[in-house]
Amino acid sequence: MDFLSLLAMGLQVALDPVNLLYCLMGVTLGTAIGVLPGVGPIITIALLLPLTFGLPTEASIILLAGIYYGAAYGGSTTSILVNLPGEASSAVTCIDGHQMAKQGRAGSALAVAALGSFFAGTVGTLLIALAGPPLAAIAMRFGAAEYASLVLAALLMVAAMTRGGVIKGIGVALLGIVFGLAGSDVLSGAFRFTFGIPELRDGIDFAVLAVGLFAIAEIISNLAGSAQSTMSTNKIGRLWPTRDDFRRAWPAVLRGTGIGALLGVLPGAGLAMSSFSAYMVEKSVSKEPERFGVGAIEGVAAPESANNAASQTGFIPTLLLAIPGSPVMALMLGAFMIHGVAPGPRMMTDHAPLFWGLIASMWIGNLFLVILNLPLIGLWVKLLKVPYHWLYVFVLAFACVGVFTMGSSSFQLYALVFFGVLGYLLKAAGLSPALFILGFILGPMFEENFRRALSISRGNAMTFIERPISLTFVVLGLLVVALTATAFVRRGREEATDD
Amino acid sequence: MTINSEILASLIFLFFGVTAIVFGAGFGFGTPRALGAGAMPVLVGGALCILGGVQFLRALRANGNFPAAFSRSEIRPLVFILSAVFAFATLILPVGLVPALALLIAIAWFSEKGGRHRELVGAMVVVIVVMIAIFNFGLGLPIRLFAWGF
Repeated sequence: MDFLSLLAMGLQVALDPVNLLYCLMGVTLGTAIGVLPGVGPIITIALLLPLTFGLPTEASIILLAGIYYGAAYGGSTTSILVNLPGEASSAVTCIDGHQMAKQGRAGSALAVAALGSFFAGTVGTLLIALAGPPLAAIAMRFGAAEYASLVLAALLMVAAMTRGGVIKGIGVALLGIVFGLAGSDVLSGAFRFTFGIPELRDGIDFAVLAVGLFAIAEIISNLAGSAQSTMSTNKIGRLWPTRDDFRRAWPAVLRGTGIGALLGVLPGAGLAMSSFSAYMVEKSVSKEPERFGVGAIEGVAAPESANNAASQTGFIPTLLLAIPGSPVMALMLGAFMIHGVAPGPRMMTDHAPLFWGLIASMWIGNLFLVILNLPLIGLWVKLLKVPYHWLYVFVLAFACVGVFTMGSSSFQLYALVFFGVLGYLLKAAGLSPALFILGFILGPMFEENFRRALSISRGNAMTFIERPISLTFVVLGLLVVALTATAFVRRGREEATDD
Repeated sequence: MTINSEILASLIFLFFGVTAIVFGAGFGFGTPRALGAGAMPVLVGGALCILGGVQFLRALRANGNFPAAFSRSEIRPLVFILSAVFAFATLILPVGLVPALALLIAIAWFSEKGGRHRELVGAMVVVIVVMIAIFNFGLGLPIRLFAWGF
């Protein structure tokens, strides 16, 4: 089938009324949690994972994806209006966006952010569609050795990019791998780390782990440091950018989209780093860098386009190689697995309606977002008035009921308490729970391919460096670790990482 | 000595590293040609122990320069939130969804200092109604609302 008929098939799936409804629900919820500080896409997707058991695969993936890119959108609103980034990826938008708001140009900033994001989202979606087939063709030729090295490289790269240093980064990823090993061994069928508990034979439940590590632990640390800030909202002003704003913004949107699209594909870079880099680039190519920090429209246009482009292209490695580059993508991968769909190079052919339906829905979702965000902006700002003590009891109740419905037994709930404690300990030790999740997801994949590669090469470990593609991955992973260890990227990293 | 975050990280690595090796060894390492079920646990556990050791030495050398891992302000939310989940877990099957949720909310409400006790009843009603609307009616999941009847 040619490209156009594949896209048409995708549109057919995405325009199905049920899927359209879930797409709208996803982006609405995403915008809401993007606006609310203290609740992010990771928590929300983790909370909704148990619910998606009962939904059709297409609908649940479309819903979860909508939350993810909707949050990248909603985060900008609060950055501009109240100088409070709802998401880490919008932190840099505060710098110039809030200055613009103070000068009465909030409407202009919001409109440019929304239109820039829509453009970037469209380009990102198109890139997935275009990059898909050739990349899948390359990945089809990967053997077990290549896969094992690729997983290793991805883990090392993400670990190296994480705040807190390489040792803690790699360590916590390994910890995640250990937990991922629990359950029956894929190759021998032996039960590992089940301690005689029958519920553990299928392994640790991903949804319970995610809810415990993120939702429960996050509530505890938010409550401990509850410094409620009072917020003053600026007037929004006229909602259409001036001719001058347009002229300055569009090259910044283009550059931001390019940077975001590129960084989104790389493991570990994430949305925050892409918006941060886009801002830095914009400032350095500008003829009047002194305007930055006092309300330059480019300083809103570039990072907002970048994080949206990155949120789309982040799907490329996840869908086509089954290698999630960020914690949210790891959750998305988990969602696919819950539904028995294995992402990877064969996904485009084996699950063509799902793949193309998701892509088409993301474009439609981006359109929804423009419609939702511009006229309804006042509504979203009102959300900031929801007090945190209402929010957390709701999240907690939702988490508990959701987890209970998965197995209708108390075991999963006790496991939730366990992972809440673990998440708290990880936070106290400055270890990234996101990397833990990544290790948990990628660990079994690594083990299976590692053991298979060794048995194919008759126990010769050289197979990982004798095969050129595999060698490239190994060198790449080690190189990034070496560079980080020598503090090459430390400065930028501290200011711009998703956690 | 107060435990700082760097020391805590090393202890976590060492604890789970040793656990993985001890149990993993029992699953059988196999041969390089056919690695057994215990190979990964032992390898990963070993790597964790090495990293934990390095981390421990680094933390000791720079002692005192890191903030303490635990703070007093965290004890209250930690205890109340976890007890709330634990209470829900214990009660959901014997007494049903509504009483279990009510207790969950009541316990969790006190993880924040300060009054607002009047709001608690409102929060209970709203949250319980929303949960029933989403899970029972929205998703059609058969959860017993009360242990008796329904």
